[in-house]
Amino acid sequence: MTVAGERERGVWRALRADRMAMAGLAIIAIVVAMALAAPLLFPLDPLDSVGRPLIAPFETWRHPLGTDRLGRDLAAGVFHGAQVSLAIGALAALLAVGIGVLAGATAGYYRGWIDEALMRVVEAFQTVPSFVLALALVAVLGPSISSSIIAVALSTWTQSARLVRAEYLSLGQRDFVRACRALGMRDGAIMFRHILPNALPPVIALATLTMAIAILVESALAFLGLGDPNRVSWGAMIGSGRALLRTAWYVSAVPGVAIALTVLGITMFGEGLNAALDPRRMRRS
Amino acid sequence: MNRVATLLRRRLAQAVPTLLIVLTGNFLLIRLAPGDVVDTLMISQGGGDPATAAALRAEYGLDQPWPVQLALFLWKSLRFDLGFSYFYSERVATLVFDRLPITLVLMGTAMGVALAIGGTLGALAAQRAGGRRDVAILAFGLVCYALPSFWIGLMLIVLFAVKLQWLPVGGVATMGSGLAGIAHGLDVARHLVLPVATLALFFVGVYMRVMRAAMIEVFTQDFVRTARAKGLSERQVAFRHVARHAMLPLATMLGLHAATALGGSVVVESMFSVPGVGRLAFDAVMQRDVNTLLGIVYVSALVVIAVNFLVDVAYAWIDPRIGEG
Repeated sequence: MTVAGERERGVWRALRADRMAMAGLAIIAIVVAMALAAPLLFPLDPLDSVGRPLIAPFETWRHPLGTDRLGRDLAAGVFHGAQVSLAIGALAALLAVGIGVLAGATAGYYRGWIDEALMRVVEAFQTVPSFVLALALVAVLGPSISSSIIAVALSTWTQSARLVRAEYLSLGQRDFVRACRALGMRDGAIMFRHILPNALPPVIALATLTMAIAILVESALAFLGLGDPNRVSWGAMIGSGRALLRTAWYVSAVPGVAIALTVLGITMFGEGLNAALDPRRMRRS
Repeated sequence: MNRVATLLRRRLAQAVPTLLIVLTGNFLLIRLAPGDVVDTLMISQGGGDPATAAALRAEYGLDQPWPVQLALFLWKSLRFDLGFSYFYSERVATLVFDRLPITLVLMGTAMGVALAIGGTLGALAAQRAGGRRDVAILAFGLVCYALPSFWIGLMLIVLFAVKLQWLPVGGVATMGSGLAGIAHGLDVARHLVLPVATLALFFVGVYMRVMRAAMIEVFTQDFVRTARAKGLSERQVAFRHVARHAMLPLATMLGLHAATALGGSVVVESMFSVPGVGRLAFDAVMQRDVNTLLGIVYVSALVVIAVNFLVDVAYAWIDPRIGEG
């Protein structure tokens, strides 16, 4: 374990030196804090109206970011929306990477026709526009948090499948894998207990970047009115401000800034992580 | 021409299984959806007796075991019999193909603009990687990538259509203007500025980064040193020699990005009321019109395969080594 500990310290040191990654981490910390503080700062349901409709931002201290057409507090929406965006983003990314690891590991470990068949499936998923697929899934499953998660995961898993497959193809040739086989270990144990830890670093970085994409896809679904109707979300807030662009454009502008900052923060951190975990890729990006 | 024929054959051999998987996925989604065609039909006609329903199910083959149904579905899809949309009272194939051209124009223009701007920015950034200009361009690319495109679209509407009133809010042509010829073309172009900009922004970020990375890699190759030794200026080296080689990875990604752009056109078209396939997809979701939606999935897969094939042909044309043997 000391070797692994050493490597983690190295990664952390590289991250600390990376100003972009640290800025990203700071943004993530702020958004997580907003999500956690939401029920304390805004104990009322953010979907209830609490004041005069269409107060502009910075007009009154009671509603610092203003209110929308129905007198719902925008600040409360932004804080509570952070919960939904982060939760859906994280769970969808986790599910996407989970599917990707399973499919990629199986394809890369067994090779041959299994690999061929799984890669055809990956290709099919990449041939269909992922957002159209997400729409179709939400249409069939009905709009809810869980169908958003499934739709977003199924439209983003292919990248991690390809990455994991490539890692397994190269790691599968190493001596330690041959040694495991010679010891008579079962395939499952070799794949997940011995190869996976070695394949994981780039996957973790990709999972972070997948989460950023997942938040974008989820907000686009919610913007079109296909999110969970009972939960406030940034995308849905932007969508509800669409009809007011001529008179009160800030209703759409405010939650958009929240999405942009969150995605920016996660992407910056994910890229720093990618560089720190794999020094060879440092100069690219 | 022989090389192109070889390529076409190879692409087809890959495309057929891919398409079959896509169609099987569609079939599964239809089975997952609550109710079947006959239910929809009965509801749209205000109900009916069970005997008629059973007769209709037999007619559509819905009383057959599922492998037979799947085979029937695949066979129909391959003949572009994509079923009927009861919401639009129109064949799905007609609906989709009527709306495809405007979407392809929107997509093609957006990708072209993104390639030009993103490629140039990436090349400028790579010239002095790590310099101040590089950092500024990188930051811009990151912002392009992170901004939700639907939000940028709305903000562009606020700025250019509502505040400045330079550009129209939506649609593809001024209603009842009676414009024709060049005037009509200019009118359409004016309407497409904002949708194209919205769709292109994300890809500007992507292409900029890919171009920059590829250029940095090419800069380390021997022929660049030769070019410099010949006494060419840095600008000539960068744009005549390095950029040309760095363009290839951009082209490879076009097929993949065609899929992303088709997805993005759903949001952009519904925002700017462009009557294309994306808008159709959005309306179909709203109406729970699964037939139309799955028809769109199928046709978009065909478009992506076609783009991939065109990229291959372009490659073979640029690089004579490809496609031989």
